[in-house]
Amino acid sequence: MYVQNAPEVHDVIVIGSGAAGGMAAWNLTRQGVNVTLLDAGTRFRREDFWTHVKPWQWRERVERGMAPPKIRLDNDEQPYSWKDPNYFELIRVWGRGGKTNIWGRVALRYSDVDFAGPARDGWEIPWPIRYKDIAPYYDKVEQEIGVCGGDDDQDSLPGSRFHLPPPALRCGERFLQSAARRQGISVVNQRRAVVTKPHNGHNPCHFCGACGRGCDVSAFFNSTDYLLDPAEKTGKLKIIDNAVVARILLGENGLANGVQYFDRYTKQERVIRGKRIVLGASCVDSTRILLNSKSAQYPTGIGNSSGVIGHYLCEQVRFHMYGFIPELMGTRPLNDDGIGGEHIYMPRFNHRDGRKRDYLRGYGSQFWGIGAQPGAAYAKQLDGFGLEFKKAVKRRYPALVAMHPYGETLPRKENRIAVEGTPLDRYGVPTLRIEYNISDNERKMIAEMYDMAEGVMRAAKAEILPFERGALDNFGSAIHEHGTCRMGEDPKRSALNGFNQMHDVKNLFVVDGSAFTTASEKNPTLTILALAWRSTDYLAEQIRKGDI
Amino acid sequence: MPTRRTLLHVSAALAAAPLSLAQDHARHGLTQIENAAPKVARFFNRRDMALLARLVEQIIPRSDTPGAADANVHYFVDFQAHTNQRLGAQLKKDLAWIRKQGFDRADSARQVALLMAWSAAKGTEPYRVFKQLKDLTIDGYYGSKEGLAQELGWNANTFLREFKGCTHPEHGA
Repeated sequence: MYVQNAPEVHDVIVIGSGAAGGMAAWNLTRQGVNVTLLDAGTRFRREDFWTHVKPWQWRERVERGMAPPKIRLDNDEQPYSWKDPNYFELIRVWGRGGKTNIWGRVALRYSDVDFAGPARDGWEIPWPIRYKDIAPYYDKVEQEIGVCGGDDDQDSLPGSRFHLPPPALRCGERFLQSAARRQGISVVNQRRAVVTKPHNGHNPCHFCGACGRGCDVSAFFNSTDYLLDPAEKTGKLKIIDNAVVARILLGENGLANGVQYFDRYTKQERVIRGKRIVLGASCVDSTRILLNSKSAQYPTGIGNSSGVIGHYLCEQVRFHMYGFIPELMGTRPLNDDGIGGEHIYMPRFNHRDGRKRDYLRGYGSQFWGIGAQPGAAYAKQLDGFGLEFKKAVKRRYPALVAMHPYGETLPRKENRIAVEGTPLDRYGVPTLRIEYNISDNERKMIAEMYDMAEGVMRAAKAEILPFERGALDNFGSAIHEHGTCRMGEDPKRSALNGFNQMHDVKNLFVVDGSAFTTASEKNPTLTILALAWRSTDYLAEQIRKGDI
Repeated sequence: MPTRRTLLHVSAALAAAPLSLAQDHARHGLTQIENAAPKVARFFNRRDMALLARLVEQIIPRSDTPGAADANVHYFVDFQAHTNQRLGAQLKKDLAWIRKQGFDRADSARQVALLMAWSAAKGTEPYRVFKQLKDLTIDGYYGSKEGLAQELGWNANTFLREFKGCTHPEHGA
């Protein structure tokens, strides 16, 4: 096959355009570094989002053969597999901004409860950084992108003086917050990357609640509008669309020297050369790229002398519990859209009461789906039919409350992403297989999570919808994959140092969730942004010094 | 040099811009779809559609607000069957079974009695038939303008300058 090789040697090649790749490109270009970014898709047009299409209008459109923009990657286009019987739900976005087009916008700081956790309990390797190392970057990220939240500050959830005003709470959220307080559990204003007032030239939220379809005025952080567009304005950023990266190439000097990719649609193979490479294609796709980048020096994937790449996959466990607040039943429904999703959050608290648990680590809870929703799926769990049923559904409509506890999973070697023996994709590159399960540690934690959620619901006197104790959402459904190219101080047990730089291949940086040493119970995007900023500050400094 | 008055006008226009941008965008969408075409069945025949209309209306009847048949939920079910071959084949069989039970020839009271019997028989085939139709009716009705807006009072996915949240003092607001 004829391979198109460009003679140019690029200063920095960034792979991926989501939170990680976008931040890398933005931070490097603003410091005068030339960046060439490979994006597996193209730009999504805000004008095409079905943000303000009512449910019945949506139905009309679909019946006419119309469809909203396809943001999620179709698994038929890029298949993956899992080790039966443990299905792993994998949601990927190939295209400008990646998952930040439709992410949940939850923007929580990790704390030393998280960073020091492994060192404290001895499970697997410690993080090479602590909160003090990353705190200035959290400050910078929040100032840059806009994160709304409260003024509280806890050991498990650090506060910030840069939060934008939080949205008002919905009725159901007030009830659950009070109920949790009566249980001795703190529930605070959620931190979310939604611009609740004009910020850095970004439009404020108009509270339509349809963020999951993509925001038509870009009122929440997405990598395209907040990072890549400003980066392009510097004149230092070149983006190559539809570039599906297969491998990172290794030179004879032991450094990465290029990237092999395929045009997504023509399947033309291409190679570009670069002096430094920053990988931020999301945890699973970055891991697949690394594992497929085999060479004589690294037969199990570039930079994998430790053998850890692909292993220690972590994804949080979660479940959902729903109920109805009696005081709200039969009241007039309000417009409960707000900023979409929850306005409150329950930070981890299980380390405070002095009670020794029979499991390690902890959990928190989210609360989306409270109040008047654009549907009434709960009605399927109510018995009956006819006029009385119709009345029962209506009566409960304004009273719906929900809890979604998230628990940390321990990093375990057998939980992994692998490429050996897998089918080839349409470009002839091995696809990925996910082998994942939880352990007794998570099961014990989940039991307590159920007790906690039921306790809060009961304290709110909620009529709880039937639930199966111990049942979990699909593995992967939190869309928070971490840990498969983890950072650490020991090169024998980690792939990256504390600046996301490969121990083995010094000009290769991995800046997405795969770099995390542990998963925490928190949503990772704010930490990915902060780590990518910190890592590329380090890289820019090394470039200035001529060290890389 | 701009006067204070012109500056105020400019800043007011800028403040309004995001909202009007979104509103213009939405209006464009609304004009395309408010003129909905008459409903046409794509999967079931006329006889099946009549039976489906009766079933969904018994599950969520007309009250002071429209019922499921008023909201064309039978056409919603038809479209689901049209786009999901497996579901369509199952529903065809289920409707034939329902017809065998005499549902289509029964008066309203008898129809209710049949549905009550099926809904109470948890774990049986009649219950599965009932539950599937009920779930489809719920999806169809509470996603329709009649069910969601008129019956439940949903008035969201709109444009607000301020989100007030819970305004009830008795809830701690």
